[in-house]
This record gives sequence, C-alpha cells and structure tokens, in this order.
Amino acid sequence: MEEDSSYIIQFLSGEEAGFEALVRKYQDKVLNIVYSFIRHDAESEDIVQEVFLKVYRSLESFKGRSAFPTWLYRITVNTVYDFLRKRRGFLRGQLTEESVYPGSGPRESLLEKEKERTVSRALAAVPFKFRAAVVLKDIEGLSYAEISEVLRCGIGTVESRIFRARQMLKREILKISGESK
Amino acid sequence: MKECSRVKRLLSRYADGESGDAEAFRLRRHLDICPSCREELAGLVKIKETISCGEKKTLPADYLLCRLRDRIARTGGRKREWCWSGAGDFSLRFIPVPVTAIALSFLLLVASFGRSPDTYSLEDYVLSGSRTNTAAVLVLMLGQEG
Repeated sequence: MEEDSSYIIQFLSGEEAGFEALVRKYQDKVLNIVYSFIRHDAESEDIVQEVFLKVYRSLESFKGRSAFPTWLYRITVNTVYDFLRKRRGFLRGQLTEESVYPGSGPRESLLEKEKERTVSRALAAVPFKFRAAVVLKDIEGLSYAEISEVLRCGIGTVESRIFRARQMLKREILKISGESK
Repeated sequence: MKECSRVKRLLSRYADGESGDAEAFRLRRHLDICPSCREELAGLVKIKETISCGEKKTLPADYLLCRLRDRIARTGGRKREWCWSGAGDFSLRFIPVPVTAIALSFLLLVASFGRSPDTYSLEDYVLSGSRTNTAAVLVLMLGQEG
C-alpha cells in the first residue's frame, strides 16, 4: 500500500517511472479480471491498455480515499462494463463462439480445455453485476468489504450477489454437462 | 428443514471465510449432522475452485508499457480525462437525473420567490400560525395565490 503511494507521488511529481511501476505491479491482476469477463486474449489486452490509459490520465484525481487497487479495479470493472455494453447481448452472456472457446496452447490437456469452456459458458450466462462480484471474489480474492468498495454497494448486496451468482453458475454448469452427455 | 434453508443461505459466506466466529461455529455444528448441507457446501467449494483455478494470464514484461507509451505519445500526454472515479461507473450512471431534478426544483423555488416580492411569503405564512398543510405550502412555493 505504501509502495503504491510512493509510486503515485513519484508519478505526480513528474516521473513516469512511478506509473510504469504501477503498471508492472498490477497488469496481470487487471488482465485476469478482464479475461474472466471477455475470454478473448487480444480484446482483453486492449481493455487492459484502456484501463491503464484511464489511470494515467486520471491519477491526479485519485484522492486516496480508497486503496489504489480498489480504485484500479473499479476502473477495470467499469471499462469492461462499457466494452460489453457496446456489444449487443454481451451483458447477459451470449458470447460469440470465439469468445466462448478461446484459443489455447497446444499442450493444454483436453480435460482442462473442456473445463475452461464450461466455466466460460457458465460465467457468460450470469448477468454482469453478479459476475463482477463473483469474479472479484474468486479470481482476485478480494474481501466482501473490498468488493463493496469496488462496486459501490453494501456488503450485504455483495454477499447476496455472490450467493446468487454461484447458484446461477451451478445451474449453468449442470445444464452444460447435461448437454454434453 | 427450516434450519437447512437458513444454513444454505449462509454457506456461500462461510465458503468465502467471511462468517464471524460464532456463525462459523454454529454452521460447523450443523454441517456435522446434515449430509445435505455438507453436499451443498462441497458444491459451492467446487464452483469456487473451478473459477479460481482457471487459466491465469500473464503479459510479457514491458509489452503493455510499450503499447501504452506508444498510445500516450500518439494521443497526447497527461491531459485529464473526465472520470467518475473510475470512468463511466455503471453504478453511478443514474445519479445525474435526481441531482438535476433537485437543482431545477431549487431554481424554480428561488425564481418564484424572486418574481413576486409582494406576495405573502412562505415564512410569513408559517409564522402567522395558519394551518400548514402541504397543498397550501406548495401553492405558496409556486407563487400562485389561491
């Protein structure tokens, strides 16, 4: 946390190195959050770039009322939301074949590939606000309190969204495994 | 049965390690004797693991920084961008509507008082001890004497 503050101060005092350190530190975390929504390598990278560009241009307005990662994840979720909103049907799932079945490395086992596809399809069927809560919990490991700050809602709401998201995921996974039998 | 439906709602929180000590203790006691809730918890943990153990992506070192430097150079340096502390916050999208409505109402109120200085003011009306029902106050606020 103190490390982040020192990078921010460094950047605000005119040294780009502060921003570069923040990018190096958080790029993979942001990428994994974005990827869990988008499931497409190239588009995820574009969105990550967009996120850090927004950070670069609005870091001056960061007041430090929340921790830097909380602020960064809020920008990430909102950027993903905007991206998905522009694409018809994406907010409530209905991903394209390309997105649902991402290109994977040749060494990846068939089982893993199958699991990845199932998770992608199941997650795609969960509405955005529920998906956001469960992704921040299960991918990024944030606490309910942190998620409530990122999504700007109460802890009770976070809890209920995660609960409902998991119910939906369970239903979808059962449905998908039923289809494949 | 009733206990089970209550417990099942709390299991997601328990699986996330977000239950308080007392609640966790009560849940563990129930789980010890209830196979159905144990099964529910196992399912939740499985879903959690499936999502969290998914493929972890990494970017090559400095790949993103190169792209960013290039983009910043093309689009200009540190110009400030309008940002709802997170640019386009979906949870705050609708805040401007009520804020604008309140501001407009306030302006209307001020304008109506300013336009008819000779009319009986709201303050006079209240101080006179007359019955302050909502309709009468609204009429005065809008500057329409009855």
